[in-house]
Amino acid sequence: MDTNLFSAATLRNELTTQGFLELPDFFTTDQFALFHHSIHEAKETPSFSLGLHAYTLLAIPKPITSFLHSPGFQSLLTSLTKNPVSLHPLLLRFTKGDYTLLHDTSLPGPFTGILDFSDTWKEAFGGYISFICNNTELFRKMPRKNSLFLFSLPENTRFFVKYINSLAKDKEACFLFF
Amino acid sequence: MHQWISSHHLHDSSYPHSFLSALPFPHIILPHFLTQHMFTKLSKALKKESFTFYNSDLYQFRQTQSLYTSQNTFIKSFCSFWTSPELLQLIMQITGKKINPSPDISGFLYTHTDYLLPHDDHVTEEDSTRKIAYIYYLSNFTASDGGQLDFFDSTTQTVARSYLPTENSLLLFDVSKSSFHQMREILTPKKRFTITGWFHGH
Repeated sequence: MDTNLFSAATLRNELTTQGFLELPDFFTTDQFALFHHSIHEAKETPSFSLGLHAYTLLAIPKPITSFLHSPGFQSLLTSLTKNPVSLHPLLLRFTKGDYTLLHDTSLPGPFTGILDFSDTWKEAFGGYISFICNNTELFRKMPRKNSLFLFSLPENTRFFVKYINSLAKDKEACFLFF
Repeated sequence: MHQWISSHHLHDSSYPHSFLSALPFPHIILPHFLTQHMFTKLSKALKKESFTFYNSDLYQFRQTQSLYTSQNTFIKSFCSFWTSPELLQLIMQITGKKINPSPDISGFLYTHTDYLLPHDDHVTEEDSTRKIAYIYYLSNFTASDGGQLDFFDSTTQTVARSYLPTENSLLLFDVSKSSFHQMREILTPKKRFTITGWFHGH
C-alpha cells in the first residue's frame, strides 16, 4: 500500500470531519529557523484601526513566498484541500495589546490555511484565532510554533484573533494566512 | 434625593457647559457623587451580587444580571433612586438630552487581564436609543493597576483623554458614532467594580 496516499486520505478525512487540520513540526528545525530569521528582518507596518484591529503587518520574505508557490507545497495543498494558496497572503504579527475584532473585514480572503511562526505559547495569553459561524465558536486555533493549519469551513465563517494580554510579555504570535 | 447625592452636585450651574465643551466628545465626571454613607452601603451590597464571566472578541469581564432583578433590599432602593424623576432631571439638566426613566443598570467586575476594547456603544443609527452612557465607580486604581477609561479622538484615532477609576465618582458621556472608548487591561489582581449602563431616549 502507498502509505503516503493512505496518510493523505486520513488527513483529508480529518480536515473534512472536524473542519481543520493541524500539522505540528511542519518544517525541519533548520528550515524553520531560516524562515523565522527572515521574518525578523521583514519590513514592518503597524496597523491600528479604531474599533477593528491592532497588529503589525509584515512584508512576506522572499524565501517564504517561494515556498508558498513551490510545487511541493502546492501538491500537498492539492492532496489535502481543494483550495489553492490565496492570491493575497498576509503575514501578521500580534504582540501584547494586539487583536482583531470579528467584524473587521479588512483582511482579504478567503484563506486556505495558516503557517504559524509564533513563539512558544499559553492559552492564558490570548492570541488564539477563534472561528465563528452563526454566532457559534466552531474551534480555536492556538498559536503553535512551526505548524501548518488548514481549515475547511462554511462560507459565512469569520474569525478574530483574541486580544493578547500582559501575561504574554514579549512573546509574539505570528501567522501567515494564505 | 438629598439622602443619596452629595448636595453640591444639585446646585452647580457649570455642569452643562463642562459636559458639552469636553473633548473629544461631551462628558463629565462628578466626584464624590453619592453621600459617603450611601456609597459605603452600595459598595457592600454590590459585592454580594453574583457576577457571570463573559468573554468575546471585544471584552473579558464579569457582569451581574440587570440590577432591577436583585433581591438585595439596598440594591432595590438604589434602582428606585436611579430611576427617580429627580435623578433623571439632574441628568437631563447636565447633558441637555431627553431621556426616559428606564436606564440599564448592571454591576461590572474587571480583574487581572480583563479589558474592553475600543468601541462606540452606538448600535445603529436607526435602532440605538442609547443617549448617555454612565459609569459609577466603586474602586480606586492607580496607573500601575491599569483599568483606565480612554476616550479616543476618532479623527486621529489616538487616546485624547484617560481616566483612572476613582471610587464614588460618576462619569457621564454622550453616545454617538464618534464616542469611541476603551477600558484598558487590568494589570494587577485588584478588582474594579462599577455600576454601568445607558440612559435611553427617543
